Amino acid sequence: MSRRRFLVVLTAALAALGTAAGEIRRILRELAVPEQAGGLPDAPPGPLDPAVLATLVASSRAVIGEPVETSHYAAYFQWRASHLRGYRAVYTEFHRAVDRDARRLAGRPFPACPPGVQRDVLSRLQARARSRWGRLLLGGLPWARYERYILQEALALFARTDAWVLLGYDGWPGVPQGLLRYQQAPRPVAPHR
Amino acid sequence: MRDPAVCIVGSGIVGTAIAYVLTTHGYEVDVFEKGPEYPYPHTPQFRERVLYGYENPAYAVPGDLQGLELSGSYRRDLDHERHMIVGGAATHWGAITLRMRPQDFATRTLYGFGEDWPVTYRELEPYYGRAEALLGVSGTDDDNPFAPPRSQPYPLPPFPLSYEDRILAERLGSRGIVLHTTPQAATRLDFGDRPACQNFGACDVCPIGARYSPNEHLRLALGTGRCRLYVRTSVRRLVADPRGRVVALLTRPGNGDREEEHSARLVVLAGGAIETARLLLLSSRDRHPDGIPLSDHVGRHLTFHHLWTGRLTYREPMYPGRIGRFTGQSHQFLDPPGRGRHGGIKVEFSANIVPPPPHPPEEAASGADVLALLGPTRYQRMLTLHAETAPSPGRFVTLGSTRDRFGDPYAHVHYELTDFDEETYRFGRTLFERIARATGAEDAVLEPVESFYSGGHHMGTCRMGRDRRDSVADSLGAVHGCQNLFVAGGALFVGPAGVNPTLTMVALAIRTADALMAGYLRSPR
Repeated sequence: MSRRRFLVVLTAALAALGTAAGEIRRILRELAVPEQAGGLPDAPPGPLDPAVLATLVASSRAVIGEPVETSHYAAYFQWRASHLRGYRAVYTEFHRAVDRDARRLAGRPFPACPPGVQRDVLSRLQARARSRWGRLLLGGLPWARYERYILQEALALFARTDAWVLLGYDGWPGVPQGLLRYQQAPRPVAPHR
Repeated sequence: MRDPAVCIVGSGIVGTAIAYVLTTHGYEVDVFEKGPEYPYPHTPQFRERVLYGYENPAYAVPGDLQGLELSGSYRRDLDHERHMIVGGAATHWGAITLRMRPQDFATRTLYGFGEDWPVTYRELEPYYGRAEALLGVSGTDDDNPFAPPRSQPYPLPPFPLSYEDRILAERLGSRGIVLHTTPQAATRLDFGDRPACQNFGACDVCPIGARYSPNEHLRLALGTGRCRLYVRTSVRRLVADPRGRVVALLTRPGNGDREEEHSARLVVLAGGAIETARLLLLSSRDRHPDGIPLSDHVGRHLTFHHLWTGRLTYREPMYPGRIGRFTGQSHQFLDPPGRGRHGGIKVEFSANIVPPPPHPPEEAASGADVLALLGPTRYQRMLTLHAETAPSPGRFVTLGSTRDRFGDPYAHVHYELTDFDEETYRFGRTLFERIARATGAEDAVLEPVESFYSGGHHMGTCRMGRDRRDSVADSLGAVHGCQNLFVAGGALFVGPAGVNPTLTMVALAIRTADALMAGYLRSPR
């Protein structure tokens, strides 16, 4: 073996060893430590790809499971991706993970799946992320981060907006209501609520 | 170097009112604010917070410039009640603007507690009218038999009672309790540059300036070209000559590494009751040979308001939260027969839903969970007992042992509840139960006495009085023993009464500004 060839092989072997050591450390960590939500990655803000945005909005609808006006969810995700560090990266990672499973399960992009399939995709990913062995198979997918920064935020936005209308209000705080309606009787409460 | 007529420390509602009055009369004013800029109208804040759920850290003072030590009974986050930003705490206020009543200025004489003020309601009444005109107060006394006398009408008509308040008002009225409208610094109709309220329902960041914000008059003062605003600038202490005349302010820009000295003809301290006391204590002649001679009353006589909130649940939906403004309240119990044994109480029905919308809804995993959490709030009303207290030796501001970025000690606040307060709570609880019965509430829960909230109303640390043996300043805010130093705002209060303090603070500030122009600042520069 020439000296040059020896150095190439040695470098490749060391790199492989380093990667394997990193993977071994990850596996040990996943087995030892319960899943943590973690913070946002330090990544620059920027506009969202339309496919990512579509996945986020579809995921919001799926987790909320009630009729909603989707435009303000899209505006919400777009604003946070464009203004706050880390969100765009998390949104994009989430899109990749969810879309991959949707294609595997239903053979189409996540937003094009029926709501039942969408919920199934999300709950399968969640269940796998919550199991230690599942996290190993997912390759360290930070599902808790997705829950915290996407799904819980979508529910919080729902609580501040559409939930009010579903409970019988004319609108929600942030939308001007004028100074007459509040003086009048509200519309009747929906019987199933 | 620029030599302004007046240096004002603090850009809150009091400092900006004085700056506005002085600059529109031709005087030059420098305003110093420790905190950052805060955009006005608050449209960006509205978008960030309400539409996108984001609290922008750019609107906060760095952690090593704001702080205090707290001991005693108070359990809330007192430090962050102060909102150290351009515009001060009234950028976030509820904007309820009530006059104190004539009796509130003489509690020692009439009820045997606290001290009498060195100014009467009658003397202050014209300034109340000017303060209402400045802030654009919407209100009426037609439905409030307990309102003090007034010489001029409110600038704007009132916000009518909400649908649910009208229901409660009828039920309470049949049991002898009056629920009436709430005077407030929010525009029922267009008012000057400010458009009429459109009921965005997010009043603490009103995007159109319908709810008054001090930044309105700061903007106008700056527009005269005679006001200079120093943001992110800490005033570390005042320097005085041997006669007790303040000659300079020592300041430090937040990012600066050098102390700066601003000469001053006249200084007004308007940084809130806690920081004003702190600055005076930091400037004391006891600490510095070129400091100012102080009354030993500085920092004593601190009072808050004591707010206890209860939840009333009804059989039928009330739909609270359909207007962001407060509508129904009662002033019937501000001056009750037992006043003196306990304090008076203002009863306030909040427009907000209870509990606040979950954010994030951690217990919720679906929209159905959120609806299940929020649904019951339609049947509930929040009722706040807004109570008076009395000064006590167990409440004071001193200098603490922890220090800010520049090595200056933070304020140490000690606040104890007293027997007077326990008695006020018992009176309030009886009143709460009476209201619950009168309105047909199926369930009524009042928070315990120790959960009291100050309302962000901090008062009395530099109270006004006759001389330095009983007080820090006179009724105009002129500090005893200093020829050109004034205190303005809630720090001057002798007693808190039971009503929101801000209108009285602004009325006193306008009176002080008038006095400065009439006597202390004879000729415009």
